[in-house]
Amino acid sequence: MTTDASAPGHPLAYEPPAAIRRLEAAVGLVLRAGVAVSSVLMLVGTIVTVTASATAHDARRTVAALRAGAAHPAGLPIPRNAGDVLHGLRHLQGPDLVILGVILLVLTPVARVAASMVVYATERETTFVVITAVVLALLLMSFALG
Amino acid sequence: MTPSVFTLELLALGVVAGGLGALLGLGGGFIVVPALTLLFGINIHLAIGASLVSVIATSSGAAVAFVRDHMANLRIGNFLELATVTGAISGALVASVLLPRALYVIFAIVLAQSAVAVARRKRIEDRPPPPPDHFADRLRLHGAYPDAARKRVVTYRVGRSRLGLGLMYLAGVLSGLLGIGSGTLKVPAMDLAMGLPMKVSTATSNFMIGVTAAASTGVYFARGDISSLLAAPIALGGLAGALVASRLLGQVPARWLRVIFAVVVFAIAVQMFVKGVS
Repeated sequence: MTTDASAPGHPLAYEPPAAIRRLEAAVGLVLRAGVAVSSVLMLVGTIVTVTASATAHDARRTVAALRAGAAHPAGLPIPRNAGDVLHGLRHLQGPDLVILGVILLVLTPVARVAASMVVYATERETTFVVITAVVLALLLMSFALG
Repeated sequence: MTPSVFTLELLALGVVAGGLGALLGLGGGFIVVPALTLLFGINIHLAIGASLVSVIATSSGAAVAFVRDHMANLRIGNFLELATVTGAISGALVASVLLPRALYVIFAIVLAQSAVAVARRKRIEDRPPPPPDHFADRLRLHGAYPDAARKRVVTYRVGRSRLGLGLMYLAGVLSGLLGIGSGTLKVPAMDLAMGLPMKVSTATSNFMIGVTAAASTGVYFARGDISSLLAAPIALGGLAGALVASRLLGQVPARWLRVIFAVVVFAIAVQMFVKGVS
């Protein structure tokens, strides 16, 4: 990668204050890890689902139902709660991998809020610890709503 | 149509949505929902569920680059998320009792408004600085970012943070209601109301969109509206598109992008409106 600061789109050599740097490092790490793990699961899971003989037939039925505008497509089951997801994880077929990937993807922004909260706590930034704690609580509440 | 072909088409849709979304500071839902309903004939509730997942993918992918490059203001993001998350939960709860027809019409109106707002966006140099804001001082929201095009570090001050918070609640409501990142409201709220530089608004909007969308996804998931066959390919495409686009941001002439965006979005708005009232 070039270090030429004048290259289009390339950031200048800029060092934010130490507290911001720590925050960015923690948040960046969580985002990269979440994106990497969830995309691998979704990719592998989708390929297995549409090719494996165990699920290919159901996948065809689901696609046909989706294209017909069905609100509750037949074929592959759609999990609605943690119990459904855990049940699927015991068999771990293609669709279960996809769902796990989707869930990890959705949890990635939640995890980065939690990471910010930890960094604010180590910086003794009480106001921001409270703000991120409330956001985290609201997010968890939204998952519990169903 | 075989599942493989269907998956590849969704993947391509995701790349386009994620790429344009990351470039414009939006989630990309403004492309995903109309494309799924109008081109693929998918039920709008399932389309919104899939869109929410792909919006999270686009946002997280773009945020990786924007956080690394110090473009996003994480303190402002964390502060405003208070309002967007509250709004998103309200919006997702209201959406379940609305008829598809009403969703189409609301979507069309929001899209048309977004097209006009983006087309008319002014450069920060042409605007007066924001008024003093003790709230922003106390929370230390002011910041700085490296501007590659201007080859210097730009420091900025934040104003009207409470007005920004209120606008973010509305953005959150629309996000939960329509399955979009509602960056079209987030960017103007930071850009126009709080006086943030355009690039910081875009980057911070991308950063926040993931959390807003995650808040409404829980409700859609419980309702059985997240079809993984639909959501995963679009999300994968969205990630790829966002990762590429967030690196291209500096090289694309912003004015061209705005014009293209305004035209495309307005055309989609008209189609959605027709579908809603006919």
